[in-house]
Amino acid sequence: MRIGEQVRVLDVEPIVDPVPDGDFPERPAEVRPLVPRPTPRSKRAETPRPPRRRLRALPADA
Amino acid sequence: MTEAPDLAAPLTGWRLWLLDSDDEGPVLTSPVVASRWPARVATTASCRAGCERPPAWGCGCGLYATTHLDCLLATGVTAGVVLGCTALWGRVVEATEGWRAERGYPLVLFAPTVDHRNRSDVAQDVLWRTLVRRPGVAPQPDPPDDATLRALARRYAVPVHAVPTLRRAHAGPIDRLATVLRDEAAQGLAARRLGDGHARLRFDRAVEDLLDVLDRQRPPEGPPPILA
Repeated sequence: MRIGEQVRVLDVEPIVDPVPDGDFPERPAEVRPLVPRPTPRSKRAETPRPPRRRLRALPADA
Repeated sequence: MTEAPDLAAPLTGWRLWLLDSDDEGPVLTSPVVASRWPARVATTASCRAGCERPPAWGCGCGLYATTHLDCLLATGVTAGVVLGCTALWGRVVEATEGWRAERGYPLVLFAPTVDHRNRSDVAQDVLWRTLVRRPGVAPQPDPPDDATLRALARRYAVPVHAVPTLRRAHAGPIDRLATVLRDEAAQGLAARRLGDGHARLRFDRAVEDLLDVLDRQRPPEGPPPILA
């Protein structure tokens, strides 16, 4: 692998460990499932809604 | 008196691995020397010439990665090889087109599958021999299946995506998106680990944008992408 001419030497100490289990060894790392980004052609997602309540009309003299 | 580090976030670069396997499942190995990248542990560079702390300035040791994806796609990438964005830290020798580092761990992986529609066995074999410069490596294996990629993602705890065989012609259009992904992988690492949803979304979108370009260049009858 060619990486060109050497320039300088750096000392890199990341605050957050790039290894998934590095910061929280007791907690197993998780890989989130990839959620596809919605596109104009994708169908509209149905939002779950509670059933509509029918309001009883109050008497006129109430 | 202690010296402050030059950088407090890892560098990120592109590199290649071979997809091998052991008793615990798929494993990433170096295409140049017979060494494995362990899962969930940082890979530490070693030097066959005996350097005390690789990478040394006057030696070629260290974990290699390139700044731009163009450098890796000069020959193309085929099945059996895994392309990925890796974090680099520790002692790092910076070069004009990449780095040699003391420690590394992959952040996101892309596993090419053979493009069956335009598959040429001779061309694939030549490409495989060009990429693998390590003696004693078996001929090009079959393309990884969905189960293998999922096992690789679970073992290393990093996202793995299936992509078509990457040819040289792809290098130009995808290099800009690859650079965006590389920058986001490094800059958003801390936020993603702390549960920042926006940082995760930015990273996912950078990956999706790169995959979209790769899929648009796939022949119509090609196999569908496998997302792990």
